[in-house]
Formats: sequence, structure tokens, C-alpha cells
Amino acid sequence: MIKTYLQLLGFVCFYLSVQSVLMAQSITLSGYVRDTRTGESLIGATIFNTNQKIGTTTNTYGFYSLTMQKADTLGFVFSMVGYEPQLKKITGQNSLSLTIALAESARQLDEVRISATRNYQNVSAPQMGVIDVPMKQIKTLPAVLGERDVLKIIQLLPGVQAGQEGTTGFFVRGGNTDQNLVQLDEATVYNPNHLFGLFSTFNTNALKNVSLIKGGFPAQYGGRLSSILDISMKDGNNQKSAVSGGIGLLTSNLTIEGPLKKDKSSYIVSARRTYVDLLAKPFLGGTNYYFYDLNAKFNFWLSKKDRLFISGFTGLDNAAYTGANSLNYGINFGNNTATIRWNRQFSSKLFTNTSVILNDYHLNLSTIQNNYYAQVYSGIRDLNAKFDLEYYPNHRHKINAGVNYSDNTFFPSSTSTKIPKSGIFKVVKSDSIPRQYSTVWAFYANDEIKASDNLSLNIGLRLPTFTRSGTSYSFIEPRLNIKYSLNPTTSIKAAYTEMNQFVHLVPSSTASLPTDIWISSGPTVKPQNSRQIALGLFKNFENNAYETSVEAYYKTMQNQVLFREGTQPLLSNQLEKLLVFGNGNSYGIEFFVKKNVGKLTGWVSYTLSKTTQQFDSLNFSNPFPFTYDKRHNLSVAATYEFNKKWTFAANFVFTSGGAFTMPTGRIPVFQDGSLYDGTYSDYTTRNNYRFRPYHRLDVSAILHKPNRKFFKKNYDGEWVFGIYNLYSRRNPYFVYLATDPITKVPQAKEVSLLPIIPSVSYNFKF
Amino acid sequence: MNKLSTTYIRFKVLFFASIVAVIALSLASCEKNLGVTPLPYTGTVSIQCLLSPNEVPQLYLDRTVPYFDPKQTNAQLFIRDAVVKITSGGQTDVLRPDSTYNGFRCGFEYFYRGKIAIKTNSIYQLDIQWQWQNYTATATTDLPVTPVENSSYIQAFNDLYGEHEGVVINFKDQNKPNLYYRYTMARMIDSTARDAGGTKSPCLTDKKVRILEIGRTTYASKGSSGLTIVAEPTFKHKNGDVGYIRLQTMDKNAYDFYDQLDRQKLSQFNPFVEPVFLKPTQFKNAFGVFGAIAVSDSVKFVYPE
Repeated sequence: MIKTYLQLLGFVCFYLSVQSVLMAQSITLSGYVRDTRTGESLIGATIFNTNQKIGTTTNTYGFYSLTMQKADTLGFVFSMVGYEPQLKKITGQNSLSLTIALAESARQLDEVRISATRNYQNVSAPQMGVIDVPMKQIKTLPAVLGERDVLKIIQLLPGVQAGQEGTTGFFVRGGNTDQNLVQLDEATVYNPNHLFGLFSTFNTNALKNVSLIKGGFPAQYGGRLSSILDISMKDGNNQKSAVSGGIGLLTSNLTIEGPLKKDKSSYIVSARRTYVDLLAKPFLGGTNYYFYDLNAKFNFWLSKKDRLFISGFTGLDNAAYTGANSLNYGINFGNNTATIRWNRQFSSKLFTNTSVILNDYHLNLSTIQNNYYAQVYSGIRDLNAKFDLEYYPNHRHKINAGVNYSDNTFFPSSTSTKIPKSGIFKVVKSDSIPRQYSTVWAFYANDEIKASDNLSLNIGLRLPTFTRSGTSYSFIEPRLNIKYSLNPTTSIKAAYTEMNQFVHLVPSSTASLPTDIWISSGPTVKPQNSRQIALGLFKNFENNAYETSVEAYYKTMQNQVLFREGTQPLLSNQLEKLLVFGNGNSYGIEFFVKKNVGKLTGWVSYTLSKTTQQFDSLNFSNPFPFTYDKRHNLSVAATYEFNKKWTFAANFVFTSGGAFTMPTGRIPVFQDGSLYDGTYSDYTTRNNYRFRPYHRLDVSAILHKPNRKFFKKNYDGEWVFGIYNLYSRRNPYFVYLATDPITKVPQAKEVSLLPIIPSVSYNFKF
Repeated sequence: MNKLSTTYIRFKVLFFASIVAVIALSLASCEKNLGVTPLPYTGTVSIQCLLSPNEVPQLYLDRTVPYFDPKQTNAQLFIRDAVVKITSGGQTDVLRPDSTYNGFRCGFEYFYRGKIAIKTNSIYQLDIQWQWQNYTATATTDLPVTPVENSSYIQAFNDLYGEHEGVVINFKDQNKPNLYYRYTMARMIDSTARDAGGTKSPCLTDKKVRILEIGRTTYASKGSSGLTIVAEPTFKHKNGDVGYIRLQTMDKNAYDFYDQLDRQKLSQFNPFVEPVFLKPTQFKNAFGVFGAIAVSDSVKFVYPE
């Protein structure tokens, strides 16, 4: 035993001495990469040492650190998609701090010219299942009523299924919507939708970067099973004041940004609101609708090594509808978030971030259908504190470690009752709903290792502990990504991840309105967990002008929740006792081809997948298809820059129909015309029917009007003309059963929502 | 001025375009009858037979049909060509098709009726043969009779089904496991009667006809000395209408079947209740019940309002 200990000690001493000798022979180049015009820090910019053929990328805050061997002179290329690359030569004897500003490349021809140094992260990075959503495409691809929308673009990516017609809900690799962690500047956004999901809450003018991770999760991410959608707001222009905005059919938006002190601090405020409720008020009667959202962010350089960010977001939807067929509803929901972050660069190799995040979400939905009243209230308040460090010991390692504490309060309620003759029924007030208090601690460490020129690994471990009402759950979540490069443009990747989730969105299978309720794990509701294995082949062509990939995955999910059969939510019931628990599994293969350069850019993605669930107390214990199990999913997104004035874009979507439940038989039970007399439904399988396939083509044309004048001020304008659902395909929204009033024969009725919708909007930028 | 007027015109265009778009959007959502290709459905049978001592057995036998099948009524779905036998102690009663007229529904209801009265404390076996299928089950008539102690009326009562009027029945719980209760009320109704959904019979006249209301809810023994159930009447009433209430004490097989029906009925009415799958309980290859009940003496009940 002592001998072994001494051997181990000797090895550690030897390793440290070798490291110190190596460090004495090395230097570190560190700093930030920014946009020349706005001063925005650039995420994912590449720094490449041309002498030693090693490189790194900037982190979320634009920071980089690259350690290399000393040399007389060293050459570097700083590059980023959409920016002119910059070459730098330095004397390579001492460590150096260097902040680089990259200039945005002009449109069209410049795009072709920079292709030789284009980012090839998709092939070279060890992580798989990560897609950086191209912000440029978000601004050109067509959308409903001309509203640019990041979540609509997410739905076009491989492995991502859209939810119902026109909505921004998305389902990643067989997971439910609650299994997607949507973060805006690290704050969780529980409901990223407006207008029942037609638009997302994210105002694209205020966004800097959007990344979707759907597999091979690094250890710093946790708390959800299926995906992380990491959205970063712009920091604000720290060079000069700028105003941009848009006037659309449904909403208008305005973004103001500028320096508080040039190069030192800046702000950005962005707001959006609908105005149909104001303009059309006399015609709306008992119907009313509006939404708004407001983003604000301030950042300050406290010193050369300290930076403070304060950001916030608030959004609200308020709707009331009085319609035919006794259908009435009122809905009020909103997200509020506030984030304070402190970046500290302790050394050229050590970067830390400390965050405190507040989060508040509520949904209050009341509805009347067929003389039954239902109300759902779902409230969540979170307080998060995080500490993350990034350590770059040498060019072969990048170590992330940290701790995350989260204090969560959930207050869910659901009730449904027949409306009494008096018409008076009890309305739930949020103050009266019992609170569910829980805490989560999570520690993690992650090392991105370049083992050789060909082999890279990303090895991580996350240790979350959840506590509620004296019940604790602790887990060990191993994370592993392996990349092997076959050549500079081809690599094979594999990933294994285990994830746990301590919140659950219980979906209602009956109502077509968003009546899903968030609840916390606890003594009776075990955390959801998943294991996912993925394998991928990545290949770029023609100097990375074309990216292609094929990824296959297999994922198992435990402790999935659904409502028990026959559940009627009552105020007197505890929601947790109305649930049943089961498992799910999903597997599929995803193809992706993306063209990055030239007049025509865009991508084609195709996913073939299958997702099933199995609950002991549902569907006679047999497996059944997941509601959003759609076998084929094809998306094509294309942007064509015709000339300097006109840009055209289109996207086409085809998916197999989702699953829904209808009885297959009728069981007669007759006796004396009693209350139970009649026919009953014979349900043979859950989710036994399929909607018709969904397909849609959207097109848009953008007329650029640069260098315009408005009261002697220069501005760039653009008209955006769009047509959503060009050939007016009546895609299925939901199906309900009715009885023919004369023949009494049951009928299935299908409702479709969005026909062809033309739109026009005007955007400007001062 | 030019700039301002251009901007104003643009705003006007956008304003009217937005109004047009919103109206188009609200009108354009479309509903249509769906041409569903029905999934293959293997039909089976629905069986209802509750043995009550001192009464001849009565059995309802209907075929199940694909969901969108136009056949609806008992007359269309009744199985007339089955061989139905009930055997006990070596004695076999072969049941024959029979019918009664339902005055409210204006039509005959079909069932099988036996000739031999059911005895107490006996074990009965049911055998049905139809289209090369056998359906068998047993029932034991060892249930105690539970007398109704008193009854009253409540104008508004709230339970799972929402607010409804109720017939309140008090009785002494047998305090035994696997005992369940259900109420019936025999009444005479005329053309003024409506069912609980407000539907009027198309054929009733001033001449009164007899109907039997059977409660849809079955109540489990609570093991307490006194138990009260509040039943929702099937038909609406007038002040002074008279009914005769009986309490059925029933076995677990009957409870399992009717409780499932009740839960599914609730999910059919209330759009916010999760659907309920009916599962075969007593028969492996059919839906239904072959159970035993013990029926109390009737108690006169007068609607006070």
C-alpha cells in the first residue's frame, strides 16, 4: 500500500516537474476578439497559430487563451464567419495580452473571398450535436406575418421537430418541450412563446448568438434531458449610438444601443409590442389580445480584467376570447428575468464568471368549453447563483469547472368543474396555491483534450443534488465526446451523456389550449433522467464552403410523467397524486448539408426517427408512439442574394403527421335509458391515429434601401415582403370528435389554422 | 414635408394591411370533416346481466362496432342468434330473446330473458355461444339486502359531475369488504319529462309510462355505520312527482364494470378530463358483467319542489 502511494507520489512529482519545464518554454497569448464597428465581443471566433498549427476559439464573452512554444516570431489568423480575417505577427518570447477587432465583411462577393479561412469548427471540435444558428439566416428567412423568429429557424434544424401548426414549440430527439433548457443570458425562459406559440419571445434585434446543443452536452450544462438553447443578448454598441427597428403588420419593435462611456461601457434596450388591440379595439368586442417584450442590457469594464453585465428581460401575453360553440378563454402569461454577471480574468490562463440570476414565470389560463370550466395556474420563481471558471493550462487542455446553486419555488394548480346554475365558480388566486420549495446544487468539471493532432476528447462529470421536503436525489452524470479526424476536413465523433431533470411539464392530452403545468420533482415524483449515445460523421467540402454531417443517436428516458386516465383536476387534489410514470426511448439518424458561401446559402436537413413511450398504467402497459413522433422530417432553407438591392429566401418543411388518440370501436351498454345508457368508446391503443403529413412553403423578398436620409440622418432601410404557406396547404392543427346531430353517427373533425398569409414589414437602422 | 408625407402614407398602408391581415387570419382558420380511414377493429360483445334473487335473469347482449359505424341503437346492435345459458346446481335455464318498450325513447329494447327465478346463496355459471366464440363467467348470489332508511331531496349538489339536483338516500352500511351500492327509482312520466340533458321525448303524450332510473355511480362500502349517497336523477321532474326508490347491493364484478363506464362517461362530457380506456374485467374476450345484486324494498319518494 505504502509502496503504491510512493509510486503515485513520485509520478505526480515527475509530471509537475515536466509541466513546469514545459511552461517555462511556453508563452500565452490571451485577450478578446471584438467587432470593430460595435465593440461587441465575438463568440466562437477562431485564433490559429500558423507556425505551430494550433488554435482555439473565443468563449461566450469573447475571451481566448492560447499557450504555445516560444519562438522568435509567431503568426496568427483571427477569423470568424462573416468577418474579414486578420493576420497578426508577434515576437514569441513573452506572454502577451492582445485584443483584436474584426471588421464585418461586406455582402456578396466578399463572402466568397473569405471562404478559404472559414470556420471549420463543425469538423474540428470534439463536441457533437451542436449547431450555431446563423443569425444572418434568421434575418432573411420568411416567417409568419413577417416576424423574424429564432425558434422558427430552430425547427428547421436536423433532430428538431416542430410542434403544432405555426407554433414555436420544438421537440429535440424525442424529448418533450420541457426537456429543452432555453436560456437567455443564462436565465431560464420557461415559456419562450407569444400568441400561443406563433412567435417566440426573443426579439432578434437584441440577440447576438444562438446555439442549440442536442447531444454530447458539456458538463457545464445540466438540468434538462434533450437540448440546451443558449441565447446571448448583444452587449450594446460601445462605439456610437445606434437605433434600429421595424414596423410590421402585427408588431413594431425598436432597439436603441450606444456607449455609456466609449470603449468602457454600453447599453442596449429593445422593445416590441403588438398594436392590434389598440387599432382594432372597436371591432374586437369580447376579444382582446396583446403581447410585449422588453430586453435591456448594460455592461461595464470595471478594469482591464473585470467586466460587469446587468441584463433583464420581461415579456407578457394577455388574451381574452369569446367565441362560438361556448368556447371562452382568458390567458395571461409572462416571463421576467434578471441577470448580473461578473467576468474576472485572473491570469492569461484563468477566466471566471460569477452570475446571480432571478427568474419569474407565470401562466394563468381559464377556459369554458361545453359548460365546463377549467383553470390552470403555473408559477415558478428561481434564484440561481453560478460560478464558472475556464482554465487553459496549455493548448492541449481547456478545463471548465464550476458550481451552480438554484433555489426554486413552484406553485402549480389545476381545476376543472361543471359550471353551476348560478354561474358562479371559484377562481384560483396565485397566493392561495401551496408552494413547492426545492434546491439544486450541481458541481461540474470538464476537460477538452487534444490528445493528438487527430484525436480530441471532451470528458466531463456533473454532480447534481436535488432536495425537496426532506427528499434528496444525487446523481453522477458522466459526459464524453470523442473526435477522430480522418483528414483536415473529415472527422468521426461519438458521444455519451447522462442527464437528469428536476422539473416536469405535465402535458394534457385533451385540451387544445396550452394547459400544461410545470411541477417540481419531489418525494412522489422522481427526477427524469436520460442516457444518450450518438455517433456522427462530419465532412466539409471546398474549403469549408459546404458542411455536411450524418448523426445517429439512441436515447432512453426514465420517469416521464403523464396524467392518469380519467384524471379530473380538482382544487382538493394534489397534482402529484394524479400522475403516472413511464419511460421513453428515441432513435434516429440526421442528415445535414449546409452551404455557407456564395449568392445561394442555406441548408437541407432530413431526420428519420422513432420515439415511443411505455407506462405501466396506460395503454394496457404496451408501448405507444410519442405524440410528436414524426417519422420523416425534411427542411430546406435557402437565401439567394440576387443583387445589392434584392435578397430572396424560402423555406420548405415536410413532416410526417404526429400521433393522436381516437377510439376504434363503440361498445353499447343499454338498459332502461338510465344515465349510463348509451355507447362507450373502445380505445385499443393510445396515439393510434396519425395526422395527415404536414408540408408548407414560405417565401420572402427583401428590398434593401441603404443610405437613406431622414431629417438629415443616414439610415439603412429594407422592405420585407413575405408569404407564409405559399400554396395555402390546410395543415392539421387538431382533431376532435363530434356526433352528427341527425344521424347520431360519430364524426372526426379536423381544424387547420394558418392558410396563406402575406405580409409586409419595414426595417430601419440608423 | 415630403419625407413626412411619405412616412404617413407608408403608415396608412401598413395600418390597413394589418387590419386586413388580422381579419383574414381570424376568418381563415378552417374546420372540416375528416375522412378518417378507420383502423382495423376486431369486434367483440357487450354483456350485462345482474342476478337478483327471486327474479328471472335478464341479459343484455350487443355487438361492438367500429367507431364510425352508422349502427347506433339497441335494435341494430342486439345479438339475436346467440345461445345463452345460466346454470346452477345442475339446473340450466336457456334464455330467449325478449323485449320491452321504452316509452321515453319510443322504441323496443332487446335482451335475453330466462324462466327460472334466481335463488339466494347459489353459484351461477353463464355460458354464451355466438359465432364460434364462448363467453363464460360465474356469479354468487350471497349478498345481503340493504334497506333504505330514509330519503330526501336536494336542489343543488356538487360532486365530480358538477352541480346537479340530487335524491339523497340514507342507509346502514353493511360494513363488509367488496360490497357496493347503487340506487334505482321507478317513476311514471309523461310528455312533460326531459332527460338530464334537457331532451324531450318525441313520442310521449299525456298518458304516463313507467320508466326505471338507474344511478350511474356505484358507491363502495365505507365500513361506517351510516352511509349517504346523493344520486342524480335521470329525468327532470315536477313538484309532487312520485318515485319508488330501491337500493341495489352489488358485488365487485358489477362495481368494476359500472365504475369504468362512469369514469369514461365523465371524460366524454368534460373536455378537461383525460380519456379512459375500457378494459375487459370479468370476461377475457368481451366487455361486460355477470354479477349479483340484492335489491331492497322500495321506499316512496315525493319530489318536494
